[in-house]
Amino acid sequence: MTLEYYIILAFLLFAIGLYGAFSRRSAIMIFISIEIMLNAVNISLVAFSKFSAIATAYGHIFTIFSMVVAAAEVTIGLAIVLAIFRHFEDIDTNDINLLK
Amino acid sequence: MGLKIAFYILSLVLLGSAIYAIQAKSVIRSAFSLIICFLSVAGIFITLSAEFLAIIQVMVYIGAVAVLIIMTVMMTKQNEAGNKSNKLKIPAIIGALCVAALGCYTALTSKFSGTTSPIGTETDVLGVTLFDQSGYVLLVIIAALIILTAIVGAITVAREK
Repeated sequence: MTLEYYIILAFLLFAIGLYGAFSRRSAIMIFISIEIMLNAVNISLVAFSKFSAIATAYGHIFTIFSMVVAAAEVTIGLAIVLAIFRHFEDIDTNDINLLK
Repeated sequence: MGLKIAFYILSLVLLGSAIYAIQAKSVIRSAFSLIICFLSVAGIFITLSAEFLAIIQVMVYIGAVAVLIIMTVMMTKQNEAGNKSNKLKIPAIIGALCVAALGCYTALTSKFSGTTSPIGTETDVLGVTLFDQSGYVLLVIIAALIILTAIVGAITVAREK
């Protein structure tokens, strides 16, 4: 197994998440796509850490903080989705145009 | 050899469950497919000899994020609404294919300067790197503050008036 396999896997997963984030209308589906993209980035970080020349754990530390920020992001985001649902009775992103 | 077979099976399950999570008819099915996606990412971490990160992945993503998403799906009545797509479907496919092609080209043509024989990182190396004298203790504290702020903010935003 070389580094290229993992990088290609991460790019394919990122592309799937990108397609979902662009093409879905429900806010929760956009969140699911963003989580898939974050996981792709984590895979590439851990792969670069494993295949580096010296045995360090810097990529793992990057991944841990990326997970922390992802957890915070999904907490705040789903709370905002709940607040929007209380206000509009819907979370379809095409119908929410309060700032237009 | 065993590592290669495990990697191929895990990648197939990972990409398949990710595509199903995007394309499923109902949102609750994509939320459950997302759990399979997270589990196979944890397996990919184990093939990269990052056992600690695999456990953290299961705890944080499946234990917290996926449960939170499923609860929000239930609370916002998404199950009967279906999984609609907007008018950007074809540009999104083209953009995603461009990203995938660019990534594959970059990965296959770059010369990576690292070793070809992989070196594993033990969990104790990770702990020493995080917490020793010149380590990342300040960043751990900042991460705790980020989580605390997120919790307080989420309670404030989602509270019933």
